[in-house]
Amino acid sequence: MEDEYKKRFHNRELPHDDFDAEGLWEDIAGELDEGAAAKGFPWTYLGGAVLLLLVAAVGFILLRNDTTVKNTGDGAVFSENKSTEVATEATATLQENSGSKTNAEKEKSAVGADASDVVEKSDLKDKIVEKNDLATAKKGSTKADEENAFANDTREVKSTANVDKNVADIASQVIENQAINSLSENKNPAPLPTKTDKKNGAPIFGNETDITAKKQNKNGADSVKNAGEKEEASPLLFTAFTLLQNEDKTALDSFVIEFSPLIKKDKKTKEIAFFGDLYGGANTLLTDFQLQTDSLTDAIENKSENGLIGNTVGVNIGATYQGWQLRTGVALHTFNTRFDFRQTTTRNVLQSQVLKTVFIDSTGAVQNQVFGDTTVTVTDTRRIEHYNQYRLLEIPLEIGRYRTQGKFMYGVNVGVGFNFLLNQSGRTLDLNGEILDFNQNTTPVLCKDFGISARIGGQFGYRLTDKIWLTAEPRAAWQSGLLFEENVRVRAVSFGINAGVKMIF
Amino acid sequence: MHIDRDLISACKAQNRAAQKKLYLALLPYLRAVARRYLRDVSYEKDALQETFVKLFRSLEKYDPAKAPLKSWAARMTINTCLNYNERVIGLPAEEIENVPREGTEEVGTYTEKITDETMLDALRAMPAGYAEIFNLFVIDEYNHREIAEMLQISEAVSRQKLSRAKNWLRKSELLRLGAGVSVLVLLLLF
Repeated sequence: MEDEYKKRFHNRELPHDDFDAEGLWEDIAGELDEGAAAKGFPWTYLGGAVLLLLVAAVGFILLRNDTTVKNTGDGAVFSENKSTEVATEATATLQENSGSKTNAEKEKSAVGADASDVVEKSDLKDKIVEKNDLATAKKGSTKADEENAFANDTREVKSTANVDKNVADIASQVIENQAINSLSENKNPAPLPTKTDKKNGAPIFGNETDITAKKQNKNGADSVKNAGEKEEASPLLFTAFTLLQNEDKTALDSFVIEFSPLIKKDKKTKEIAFFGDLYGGANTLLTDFQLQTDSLTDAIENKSENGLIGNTVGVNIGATYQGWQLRTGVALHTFNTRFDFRQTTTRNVLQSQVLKTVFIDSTGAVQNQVFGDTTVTVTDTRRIEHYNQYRLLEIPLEIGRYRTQGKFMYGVNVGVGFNFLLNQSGRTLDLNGEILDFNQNTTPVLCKDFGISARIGGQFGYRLTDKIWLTAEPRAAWQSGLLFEENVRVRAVSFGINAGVKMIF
Repeated sequence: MHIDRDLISACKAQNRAAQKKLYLALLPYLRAVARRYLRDVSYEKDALQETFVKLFRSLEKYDPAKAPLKSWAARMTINTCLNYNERVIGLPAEEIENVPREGTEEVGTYTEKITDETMLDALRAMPAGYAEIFNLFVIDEYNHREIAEMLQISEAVSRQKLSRAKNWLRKSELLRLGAGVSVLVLLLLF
């Protein structure tokens, strides 16, 4: 029996006609390629690479700050952006705060002043659309602005003269109706204007504002404020993604999720292998305000900054070892957002020569009309839209654990990201409701020059060949954040999808 | 299978073409070895892949003066397969002196008509530890000292298990012959 076994099987060879010898060789060669890269774990090289990237990034930031001309506040730096302020203010013919520059402008506008005159007072030269009605404003300027997001530096100035005329007609009709109603109902005057702003006389939005407006009057233009004059502005109410200067104050929290289908060359291996990948994709950013005090609720209740489509490009280098992965690299994130602020306030103004009483005889004919001064409640609606943009350079440092099952791979990555603000351009409001331009080279800036994020992500892959993997990497990053204003916390969520090529070297 | 020194040198220099040539030269033999030692042949490809990767990575250590490359590679394959049996497939915790499983439908002289695969099945059906030692000693001609070294057992245990393996096979053969005779008798009766 033993002899039979020896005779049949000793030195026996099996032909591989029924065996995928080529496929097996491909697997073997792929594993050999990975293992040939290193003999020991390259902590020194990886550490050096990370240090080099950090030094390069810091140097880049410092160099850029030294050579860039300070912003003059004339809006030229916003060539990529376009903003709209829909400033609707039903200005009474009698001004409660005479002497106020702003109200003087409003009055001028209300009586039919040339809109270009108003624009000339504004260094920003943005499109100004004046409407008496919020809905009308939405339909007009907002839609147009969305269609021209990030367009070239096309400044559009729309005359308000015709608008004034039309709205004035409507307002007169409304007031007349009110006067008629007053005959049979209540002739008591509405309460006088509420608290006003010290600077421009405009009513301060706050708890004292009585939002009970029923009637509207002639409209006036609320001219766009000059951002260049606001460098000393008070702390901001709003910011977007990234980190700040006021470390001891509140922070903007950002949460980034990316889906990264990478083409990877990877394989389960027990040896160290180096790799590099190049990727790019799209992202979007969502933000959310978290108020810390109630006093600001009314002021920013309708203020928000929502993400649009942005992009991410980057390169990674790293190593795998027994199912572990360590990688670092550089990523450039461009986050685009739309700042959309809406504010509605009411106030009371004294209207002169308003139809107050109508005498009608038995035939229905008007016998007499009495005109006089009366107080009317007006509703002011202000809406500001602006497209903001933030560019960040990120140096991630991640460690991952992955497993392979046949052609599939799954795993998880955790790590940190070192974020450097490269550029920011956009607008926001300060506590007084003033429009505030910001960019990297002006004060204030909204984003920190440097911040650290914590990242975690999944890793799923499908092996196309022994050398190339197609993977998807949903990734989430919590980014420590920032805000100038201590009473507001802003959270941001970003979603992205990246694709790239990963190569073993 | 002829493997010259130049081919080995080229493989040591990480020449992929030479490595593939060596792979194709060794594959038929190592595949046969793997199928004899693996208790679950579905792991054949994995075991061979691991073997060849180890082989090419440790080729620098290979000394032609000590053993032919074929033997060196076979031993590497055997070790890999034994590891697979233990690590992946798992071995029974205890040796069982049981009766071999029922034989096949073969009738007549067992060793003449039984197929190769049936003989390998018989090896795989042996209690844990028997088949390996039988394979190593009878087919691959390792001595008990080498077997003891490879399996981390004593030479006495190696001899004992070999003896039991042979007995197990004899019982298995008798059982098969008995079954064959019974079937033959039944056929004659009807």
